[in-house]
Amino acid sequence: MTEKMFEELNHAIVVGDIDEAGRLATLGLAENIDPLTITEKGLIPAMAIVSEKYDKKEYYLPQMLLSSEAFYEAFNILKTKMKVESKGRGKVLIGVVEGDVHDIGKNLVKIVLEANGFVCIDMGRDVPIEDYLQKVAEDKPDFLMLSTLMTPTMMSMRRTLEGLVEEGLRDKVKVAVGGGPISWDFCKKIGADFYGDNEKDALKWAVSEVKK
Amino acid sequence: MKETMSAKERLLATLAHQTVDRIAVAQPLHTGTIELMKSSGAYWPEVHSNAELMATLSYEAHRIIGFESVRVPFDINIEAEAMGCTLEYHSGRNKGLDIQPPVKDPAISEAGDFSRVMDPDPYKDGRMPVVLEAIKLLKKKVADTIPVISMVVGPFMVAAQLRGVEAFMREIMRKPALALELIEKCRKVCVRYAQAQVEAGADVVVIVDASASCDLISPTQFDEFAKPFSRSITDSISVPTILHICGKNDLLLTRMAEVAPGISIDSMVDMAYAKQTVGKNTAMFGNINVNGVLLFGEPADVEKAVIECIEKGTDGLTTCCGIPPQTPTINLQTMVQTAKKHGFKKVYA
Repeated sequence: MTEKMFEELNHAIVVGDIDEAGRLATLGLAENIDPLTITEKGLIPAMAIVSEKYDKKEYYLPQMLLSSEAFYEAFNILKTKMKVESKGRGKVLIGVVEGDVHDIGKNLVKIVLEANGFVCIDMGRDVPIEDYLQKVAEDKPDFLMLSTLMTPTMMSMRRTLEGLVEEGLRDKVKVAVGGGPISWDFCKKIGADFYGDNEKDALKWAVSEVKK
Repeated sequence: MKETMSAKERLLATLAHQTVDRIAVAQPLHTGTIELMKSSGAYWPEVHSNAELMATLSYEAHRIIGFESVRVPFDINIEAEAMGCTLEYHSGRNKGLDIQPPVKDPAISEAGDFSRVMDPDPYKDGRMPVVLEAIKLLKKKVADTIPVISMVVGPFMVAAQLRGVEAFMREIMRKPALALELIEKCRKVCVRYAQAQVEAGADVVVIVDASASCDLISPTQFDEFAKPFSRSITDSISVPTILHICGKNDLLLTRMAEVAPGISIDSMVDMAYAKQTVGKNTAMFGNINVNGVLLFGEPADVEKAVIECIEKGTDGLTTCCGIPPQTPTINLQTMVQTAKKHGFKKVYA
């Protein structure tokens, strides 16, 4: 019975059926299945399929967004019953840099990381450099992931990295950068650790870093 | 090798898919850089709301850089603002000097609630009259041999701005009829605005439909939600159009070619592939990389990129996206000079 339920839950997420995803998550909890098990077997495989479809251009952003809505519907229900706030596989501070309000890419990265057991602190968009620095100092995340879609705001990404150095925080956190105009060249130029082209890259990198 | 056509003749002939003396070096995307703002005294964000300043900064790109055109405006939210969005003019650390004013508050906060969506008159509402006035000023300022290029945002993108991109992307899946209703409202506004630009003197109208990119939607969704609406702009005005869409749009090229006689592509698309795909009945514009080459490169990198782009068959040598405000003048001058010098190869090769 349970296996079938996991299968249905995965299906609901892949097709973006919010109501069904929520219903199945609630049902799983009612049957006393561990919320972590439900996440692992009912949600994560679905997001892997969605991510793969997105890569193969079977899915585009609209389909991806529907699936992530269904994912969060189930995930938020499960979270209420999870043992409180472990660090998960790692803690990620993520946000769009100052001056830029385009946050779709950042949101996709966050979904995939959360679906795979990372704890994300979402800073939102158009975030002042000082806020990143303060949060890195206070919350001591393992990763800082910065995104921008626009060319002018690449400069504000560079200044965030400079700020980390000035505050003596640079060696406390691993930094990844991404977004439309960003490249490996730029990443190296501003002294970040990793450049990712998409959400899968970001996940792969974070997983390999925590294993080190 | 000698020039036998004026800049305007060349651009119009290119868009009519006729033979030209050399490739066009007109710039369909915005030209606002900080160096040009300094030399002309016309600064963002004031430029966006003042016809005189808008014309001044636009003219400066022709005068200093040597673009064979003048182009207005300098931001992409004029239609969305006139239809009800609130913009943030002083965003970022430099208070709007180097950032186009983004949408702060979309006009639609709930699916299907069009109560705050306006139906603007381009001669009266928002900043549309500012752009029309700037076009008229430029017509007087430049010789008749220089084309005046104006821009209208594509109906799909305006709809996404009014609703908020993410919410709109969900709506085209969950409530396609509502999405289409909104896009149709936008289409009417865009057509009227484009017609007013032509009446003011625009020689070419660029349609920027950045949200209708394959980075966001599928080619099938492009066919349903974007193509017929932007095509309607081309069909409703008496001057040629150029369609620009950012992103990796290999799968959209032939569809873009159905919208306008000229299409402008991002640097992620290979120019040789694009030109071969669309053939000689579509004029290709592009696609010098604005960040890797123009913003961070040296003049020698620019020269190399321009020659390569010409050899790959572009019909108009332009940037792949709006020019980043921090771009050095020397790189832009190098781009234009190299294109003018090597652009003959296409004809005589």
